[in-house]
Amino acid sequence: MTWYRDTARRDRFMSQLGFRPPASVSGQSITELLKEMAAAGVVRAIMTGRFSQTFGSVSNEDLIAITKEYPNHFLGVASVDPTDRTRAIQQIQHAVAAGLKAVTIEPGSYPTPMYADDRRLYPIYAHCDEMSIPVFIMNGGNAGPDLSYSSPIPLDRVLAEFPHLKVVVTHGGWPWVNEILHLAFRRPNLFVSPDMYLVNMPGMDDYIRAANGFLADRFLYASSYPLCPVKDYADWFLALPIKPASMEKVVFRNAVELLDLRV
Amino acid sequence: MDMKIIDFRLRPPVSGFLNARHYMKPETRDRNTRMLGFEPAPSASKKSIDLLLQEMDEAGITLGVIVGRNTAALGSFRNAEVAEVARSYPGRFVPVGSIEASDRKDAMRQITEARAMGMKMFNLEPGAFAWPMHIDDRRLYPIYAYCEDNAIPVIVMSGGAPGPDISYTAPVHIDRVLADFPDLTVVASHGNWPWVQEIIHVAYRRPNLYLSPDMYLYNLPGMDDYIRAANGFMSDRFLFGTAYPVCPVKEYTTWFLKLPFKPAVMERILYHNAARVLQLST
Repeated sequence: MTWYRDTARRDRFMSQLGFRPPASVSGQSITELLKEMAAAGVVRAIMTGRFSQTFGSVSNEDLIAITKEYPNHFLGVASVDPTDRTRAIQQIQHAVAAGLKAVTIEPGSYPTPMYADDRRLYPIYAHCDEMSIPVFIMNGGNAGPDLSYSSPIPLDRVLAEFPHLKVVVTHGGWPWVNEILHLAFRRPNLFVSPDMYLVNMPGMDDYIRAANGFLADRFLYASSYPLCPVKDYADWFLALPIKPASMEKVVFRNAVELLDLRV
Repeated sequence: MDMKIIDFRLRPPVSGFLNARHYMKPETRDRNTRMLGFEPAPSASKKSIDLLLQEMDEAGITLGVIVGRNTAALGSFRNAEVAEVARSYPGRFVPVGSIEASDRKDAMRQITEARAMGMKMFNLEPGAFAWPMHIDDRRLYPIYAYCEDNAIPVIVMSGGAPGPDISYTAPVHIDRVLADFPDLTVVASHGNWPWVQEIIHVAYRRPNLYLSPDMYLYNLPGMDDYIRAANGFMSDRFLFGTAYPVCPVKEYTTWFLKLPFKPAVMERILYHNAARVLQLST
């Protein structure tokens, strides 16, 4: 995928956030990453698959293989081919049977860019809704060809039209911080994971205030590794002014409950 | 004329059908009937099912596809009533349920119930829902997916005056549905009129589209193009429908039978195409 092929771009993103590539990234070493996770206190990491032209693809088979090789470290979230509904549902069934925990939808970075409320995604959402499978939607950051792909409006429609579907907005809907927090206030099925876009970026204080308030049960910790080093990100995050009770939920409990993990 | 005829769009004056706008507002209906150049059928004016059955016999219509209605704008009645009408007049009617699909789970419940009543086909009139939708509205996609997976053909009202403005008949919407669900059989009621050239292009491109121009064929612009398409590549996907009570079945059929369709094509249009879509055993 892009983040290991276009290393200059990755390192530019990382340095914009104020981090330097750790040994695991510069050396592309899983052994180093496991050490860094241990040092950071990260007991489980959620790997999201990818089906994209822009960012490269990571197959569900690869995710399944990694979870089998490192069952005490990694969990996987399956990607789908959104242009073929029947195949997408087969992919989900296969992935869930193999132990993957959720489905990731990255509408703006598909080979045919889509918005989160694209009609072709609706049978896929309906399937996840019926099977109680959480869905991660990349609806923030560089989600698609332009800023409209991180707009909260399409996401709001999905949340309203599938009120029982649990949706994690990866990249936290950033930069539409006020707006995504309004959605979270209005739609109890939305979980917010600002990940890399929390790091000293505009809106940070508002995310944290929400995590300390109404969003305590629906805020999720994530490093976006390899765009942030897991250790440095964790050190930074744990020093944030998040109340201890909220912090415990944000860094652990919320994810365990959402994905029904046995950790 | 010894040819069996299936009328693909007919709303008899009985039971719940009387609660839809066609019978609640006869003056509007009669205005449309007269604009086409017909006089209202006696059965429609008198709301007499017995007269209608007589008129169907005179027209040579063997079977009427009675299409339910479940819309805020044009009225609604229960699919159970549609099924009951078909049961009460055995051999005369094929019931098609109508689904209000604003809420996916409720729509699925309606479909499951209607299938249990023996219905094999459904009608969607999204432009007339309380919250009008285009044919390719995202909220309809799980319904289309279900119908495609279960080989259930659908009728969509994508022509005539199905919604608040002309965008509700724009053929780009049905084109997307046909492309996204290539194994779903879709009947465009009202033939997607007035976008005649465009819908014939869509039909040329998408083999899962059937056209039923029904009342909008009657001396209206585009008529010659519909007929030419039916005589050519669309002979297997063109359907006969009177849209009764808007058109009187007898006069419409008499007129239709004189249209310049090739004899082999006429037979398909009047019966075989419909029988195939409806999965009739004959």
